[in-house]
Amino acid sequence: MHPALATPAAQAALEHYLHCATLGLGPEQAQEVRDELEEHALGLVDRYALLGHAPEDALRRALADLGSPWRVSAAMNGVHNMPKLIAFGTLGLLAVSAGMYALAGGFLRETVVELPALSETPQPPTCTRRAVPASPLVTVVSRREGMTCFTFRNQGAFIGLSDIQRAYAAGGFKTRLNAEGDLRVTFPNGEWRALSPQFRVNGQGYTSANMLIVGTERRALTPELKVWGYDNPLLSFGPLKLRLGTEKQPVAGSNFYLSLLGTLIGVLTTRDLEKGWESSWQGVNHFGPGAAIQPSVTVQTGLKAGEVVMLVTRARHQPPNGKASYFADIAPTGTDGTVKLFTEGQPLVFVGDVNRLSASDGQNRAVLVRVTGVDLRDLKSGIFIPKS
Amino acid sequence: MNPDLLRGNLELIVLTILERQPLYGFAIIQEAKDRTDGYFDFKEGSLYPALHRMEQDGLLTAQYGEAGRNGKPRKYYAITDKGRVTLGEKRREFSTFSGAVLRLSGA
Repeated sequence: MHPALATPAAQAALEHYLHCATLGLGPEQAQEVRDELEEHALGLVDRYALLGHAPEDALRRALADLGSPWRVSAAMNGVHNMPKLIAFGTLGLLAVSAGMYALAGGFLRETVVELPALSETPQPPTCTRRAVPASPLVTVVSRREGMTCFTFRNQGAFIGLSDIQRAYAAGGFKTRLNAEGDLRVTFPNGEWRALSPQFRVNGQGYTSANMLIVGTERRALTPELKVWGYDNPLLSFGPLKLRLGTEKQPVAGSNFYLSLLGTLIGVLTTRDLEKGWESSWQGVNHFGPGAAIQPSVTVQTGLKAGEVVMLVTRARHQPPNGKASYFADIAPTGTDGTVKLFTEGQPLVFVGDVNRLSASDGQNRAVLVRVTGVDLRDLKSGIFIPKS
Repeated sequence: MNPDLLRGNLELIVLTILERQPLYGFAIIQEAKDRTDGYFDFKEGSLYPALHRMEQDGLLTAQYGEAGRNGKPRKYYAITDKGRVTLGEKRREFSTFSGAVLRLSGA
């Protein structure tokens, strides 16, 4: 073990960083990114140690040099998750309408399916003879002969593919789960989408809940694509509605909506969804729960409690891929209609058009978007100017 | 330096560094700092999404080398033929741009 990681606190600090930086990635990619970042962090630690810093101070400085893990995670998700959309297969090119669904027979009957969720991915335990760090992300799994084994929580909202298959089948869709565990769903116009397992528990493959939207927002494969609520959100494909999470196995709104941000920005800023994204995104502006307080803005939306609102600002730089780049945060409104969102630039000037986010006058322009109850394929319809 | 300027040219910088030899992430940063006397200074974690994107775009290819400080094999990135073509294009773009800026300022 590296000398800088001799204490459980140091291990926990690094583990927490790596956990945050790889959130939302599939297990294989997450492991790859973890290994690279860990190696980099330890390289920085060695450099600071050579300069005379104590191990804990060296680690603290190393993690600061790496920068916000949430930004790394956001950018990595932009690389590895958004392009999956392009990889989905297409068998037909017919436009879909509600009328066609009626012709498909029986599909228009309203069906609500509850989907139990996992809130974290399985993690191998870490064992130590020292004190286990007190952290909400740490779970002790065993104590034996002075050795304590614990796991770090890798949070998210994950749905079993066989449960998703059951839900789609209830809505009248053709589904097939192949030997590799991929679920293929065929829509009434003949197009299909495949969902692959990100990890398995007891033989059951699981995928991130946001993939249910990611696979269907660029083409009108279903009569409707809307979401309601923050925790245990209700996803509507039209007559088929999916409740993501149950009372016993819930979906935390923060996990679900943060994983959806990249997709929402893609929809919001792209003129022709079928041609592909025109933008990239930089990620949420806050460092995460329990971290140092970042600048935030409280907005009176005038919306009823529980509506979900997204704040989008444009990054000042253009990324190497030539696409426009955005920052975003997302949160539910409180009972008084206000929502607190993290942002870097203040004061904000709210505009009603994403094309007006670029400003040469030094203003911090922002767009507020109501995400719940609006057509997720036409998020621009959710843009509003706040009351205050 | 202005971080926006750096981020906007990260691809050019990475391709230039890897033009000489394949390197892993930490070494890429060190090379960038060493060869510019520390001029390039940015949040180092942001290098990895860029590397992964460039690998996905076919500008870089990766292979694993010796074990690193964490005991895991280091991931080395190498420039591809496509990457070299892109590097040439980006150099021309940058040269044209910086030339135009200099002409604007009368230099």
